[in-house]
Amino acid sequence: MMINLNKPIGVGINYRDEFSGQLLGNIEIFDFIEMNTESFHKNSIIIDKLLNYTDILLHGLTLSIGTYGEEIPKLYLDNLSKAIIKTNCCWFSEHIAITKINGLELRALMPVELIDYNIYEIASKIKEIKSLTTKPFLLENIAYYYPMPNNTIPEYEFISKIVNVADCGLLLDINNLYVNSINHKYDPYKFIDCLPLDRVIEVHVAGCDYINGLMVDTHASRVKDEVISLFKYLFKKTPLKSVIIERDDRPKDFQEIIDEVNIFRKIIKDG
Amino acid sequence: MQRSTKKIQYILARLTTNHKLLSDIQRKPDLLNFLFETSSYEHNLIKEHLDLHGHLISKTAELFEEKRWMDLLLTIKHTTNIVSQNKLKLMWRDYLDCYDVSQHIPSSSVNESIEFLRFIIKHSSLSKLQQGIAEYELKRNITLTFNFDNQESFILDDFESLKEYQFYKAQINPSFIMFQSLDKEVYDHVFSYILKKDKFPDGLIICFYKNQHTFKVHRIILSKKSHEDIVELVSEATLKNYSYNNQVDNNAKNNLLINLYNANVIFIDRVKYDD
Repeated sequence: MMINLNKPIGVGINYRDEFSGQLLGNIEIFDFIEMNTESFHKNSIIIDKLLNYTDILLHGLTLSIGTYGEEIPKLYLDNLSKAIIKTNCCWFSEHIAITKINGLELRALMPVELIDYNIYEIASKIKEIKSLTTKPFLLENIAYYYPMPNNTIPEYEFISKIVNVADCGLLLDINNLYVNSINHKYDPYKFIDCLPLDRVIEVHVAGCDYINGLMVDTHASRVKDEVISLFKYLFKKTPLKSVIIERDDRPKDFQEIIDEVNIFRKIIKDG
Repeated sequence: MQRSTKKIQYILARLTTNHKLLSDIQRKPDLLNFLFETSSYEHNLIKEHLDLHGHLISKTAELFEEKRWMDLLLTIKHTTNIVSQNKLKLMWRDYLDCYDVSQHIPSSSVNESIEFLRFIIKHSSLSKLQQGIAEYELKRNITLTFNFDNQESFILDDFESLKEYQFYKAQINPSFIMFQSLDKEVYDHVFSYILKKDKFPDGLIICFYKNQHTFKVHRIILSKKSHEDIVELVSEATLKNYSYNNQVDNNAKNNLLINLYNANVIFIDRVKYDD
């Protein structure tokens, strides 16, 4: 594994305007804050405050790395470079997804066809991104609710090949993995076993809920016990660098978030 | 193969972002050819995929629409305070039903709010007050979408140089937009419940503008006189020509300029003189 980070493992949360006050008021409990790459410029004052207390991770939403035959826009690369310099992030990440195509902004993550030539297309884009900086780049698995046509290889193999060919890290979203395993009926533990675990630098955990017969990655409730169990299983198998709790709405009581941080701290401490 | 893959990605992206389009195509698959000029290979692939997984794609499209609705609510907070959520949800359904299936969805929730607010102002049975507040929010959100990409503005780093009035001119922040409501009920509601002012005179002008560095929308409330002063300031070819009604000294003039500049209401540019 080529990524060597001299950082102890830590627990953090994604930044949201909805609970920025509570987040800043409890900043000492977080080792990392994950910020949206695209909106870092809107939060430059917050970033300056956060950098006094904690490390920042950058997480992109709009790269659309899976859109076939479209180059990464120069504007995106320029903004990404600026964000990396401004935040001095430990690493940065993006999703294996389609978020825009032919000018259509989906405002959601759509899955990519699990086919051989997409591996090389995506890996080639990652190499271009990696050339911008020495900071490590991580790729994240998404939650998806329908398969794409033409899928020919299993998702774990698709992900493994991309990160190996591109020589990048993996951000394993365990909640997405759990959600997919319910909706597409597979064993999430076997899925983990098939990944190149030495490339997993960061983990996402979040809440999920049944909506209209589908298990949905809502980021709006507590992390499920099943997801915590998956995390324990993964953590026994590989050293990680960070666990990020993803929360999109404002919790009724911020103590709920603090309790979740403590749950993951205890798992890490207990080894 | 390459074109085919991208075409298939695009068609699925269109179907998952427009539930009405998906339903239409599930009922009449020939629409695929009509809307997307599919080859027989692409047509058959999509049709088979919809036969096999159409129910999942349909649920995904519903999820995406619900997410758009939740995101929209965050961008129209003043309207949601004055129009019940149930009524708004019905308007949202009407809005989706009227959405042209050949159109892409708006590229952001703020852009969606602009289209939605325009739709409900034009097509829904809103009271005068509700319509006025929707218009207030519409103007604010239009300001938020202002793009400074092609706007060059001089960044002033030395206020002392401002005293060389003949070399500089002021221009209003190009995102500046005024909200002038003629309806007293709307005016009173905005000041009492949105701006939370206990006392306010008649005739104030509310203006929105976007900070070109933070991209946040700010609001400024001007008296008729202040507004006239700003209009006079930016209409002059140089700051030297700006009289400020000939009643103030250069220090006061400078302070006014600096305050407006710091508040981002005006930009100050160097005057270009022809040789």
